[in-house]
Amino acid sequence: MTNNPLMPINAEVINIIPESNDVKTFQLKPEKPLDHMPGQCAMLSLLGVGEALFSITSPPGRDYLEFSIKRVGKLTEVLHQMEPGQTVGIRGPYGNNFPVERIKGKKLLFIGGGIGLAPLRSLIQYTLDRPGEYPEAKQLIYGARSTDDLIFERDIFNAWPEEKNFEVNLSVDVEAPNWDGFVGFVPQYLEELSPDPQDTVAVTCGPPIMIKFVLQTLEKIGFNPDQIVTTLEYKMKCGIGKCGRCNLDEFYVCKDGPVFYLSDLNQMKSDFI
Amino acid sequence: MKPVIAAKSFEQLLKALHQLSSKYLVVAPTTEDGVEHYRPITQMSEEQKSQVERLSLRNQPPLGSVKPFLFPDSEIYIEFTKKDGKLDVQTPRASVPQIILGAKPCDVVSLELIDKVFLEDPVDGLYQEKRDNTVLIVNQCDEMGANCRCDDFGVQRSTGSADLLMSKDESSGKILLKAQSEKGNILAEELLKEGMEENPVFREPKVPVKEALESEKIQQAMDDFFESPFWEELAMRCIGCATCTFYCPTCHCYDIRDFQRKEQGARYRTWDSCMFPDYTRMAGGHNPRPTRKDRVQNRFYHKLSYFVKNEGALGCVGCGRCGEKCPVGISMDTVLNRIGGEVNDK
Repeated sequence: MTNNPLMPINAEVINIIPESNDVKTFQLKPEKPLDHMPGQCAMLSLLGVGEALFSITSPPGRDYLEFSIKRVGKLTEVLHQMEPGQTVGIRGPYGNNFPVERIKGKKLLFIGGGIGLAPLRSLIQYTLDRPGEYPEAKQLIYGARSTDDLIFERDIFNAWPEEKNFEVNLSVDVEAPNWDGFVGFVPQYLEELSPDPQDTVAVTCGPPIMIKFVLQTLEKIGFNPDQIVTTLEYKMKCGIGKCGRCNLDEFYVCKDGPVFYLSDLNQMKSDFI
Repeated sequence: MKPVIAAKSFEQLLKALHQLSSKYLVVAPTTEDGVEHYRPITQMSEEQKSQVERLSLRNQPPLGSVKPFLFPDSEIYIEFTKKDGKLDVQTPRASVPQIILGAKPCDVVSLELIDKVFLEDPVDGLYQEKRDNTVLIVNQCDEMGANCRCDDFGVQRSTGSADLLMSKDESSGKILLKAQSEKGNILAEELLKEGMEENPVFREPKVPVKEALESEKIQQAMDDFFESPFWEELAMRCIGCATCTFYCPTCHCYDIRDFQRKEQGARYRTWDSCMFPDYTRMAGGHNPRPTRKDRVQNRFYHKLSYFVKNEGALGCVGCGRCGEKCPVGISMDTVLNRIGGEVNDK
């Protein structure tokens, strides 16, 4: 048999959790385990429909992999119609991961927007699973368009605020009844909260426009580019640095990324957003 | 041991290769509707066969490169049947051994550049299998063709991964083959059995060797040139047709697609082009390279800067096909002549 790295293996859908109007979390059990680190991605596919790359939202060490998937295109539309017990194709994991070593001993500031919380959740849970290695204060600033669009409600409303030393700040873009959190955009909320940059690493993911303004705001409130980490989403086909499309300068987001320090992104000649 | 064998004429060589066509797929350059391509000799008309000698020994590569025989423009790797809720998956059969007659040094080097990408870990097995199964019979040019810039890229006499070198002895009309790999030795043995003879000497090519461009210098000049208004101007001329990328022997970008009709379907990969907006546009609509300027610039930077940084070589062999076929006359020279350095005087 030809050794073909594009060949998927089967994964059983063991559970599907609705998160919002257009986001569902899929718990998958691949026929062979995929050992991943927070920030890595995998290709999911359905034969006859297509294949796309998604970040793995569960932390390592679970007996399943979780993917939180927003319904935006052809493949995600069909994925959203699936039921537990059905099978998808999977291959990976791909890419680098969040700098879990370099952020040890630092205060951690997570900033997410919409579905962008998905890759951050793997890292958040990874650090919460290891309080001895990540004992410092953690803060999450997370926003979505509306209260309906906030995902991982069980984490953001219940589990995480219960954690010691973990401040959870939520926002929505527009006013809603019974909402007592912040109303406005995530970068505005970030500026209003202005967390102390001292010994802190900020990790952000969200829609490109949000990332752009979050990065500007972080620098404005005193973060240096080497204290800022983001993860990029580019269109990918192979996931292994060969099909060409996800390059940012000479780097392939699928294998050299998707996680980058802002200090590295600032060296790029091309616009990264 | 580097045995040299000879056929009395090109016709005899073709006949001998024909005899091996139960064992190998033998492809050679010919014309199809007036366009030059490599095609299986068993499928050629007599008229098409009569073109093979001229195109194999000419001082210029055919318009279509050898790339599609190693990296096909469309390649199924999963076939499936969905019947009564049951999915049945098959992988297509392995590739067959093939002989490519009349490849040019530029095309050989272009495969070596693709090797750097596809044979690097994780190895692309679909490509590797064909690469291992291919015997390249290479004719080195005696002079530069009209659109050729192989001298700039230092490949005009390159024979690195050629399995057999081929040249014609003009005085006797003999076609000489010199084996330079294990696969080449095996084929030489087989051709001897088909009536070719051992020959004491091989005729070396006459093409002059010029000092090639220094890849790091070009890469640096390109990097210094990134903010130039030249890229806007070039994007105004480019019509985004992607012809350059489809004729390019070093372009390796691909798409992965699924096809299904009724109960049957396939997943396949197919050539793609960085010149198309869809290449980078995501399902949600965001596109990191939204303008033609971004795309034109990316193509030239990939060849002349990023490839140097990642693979240690320029990603161009100077075959001239992109410039020959570009509807608005953009070629590698269009850029090389503008970025400064020693290429300016061309």
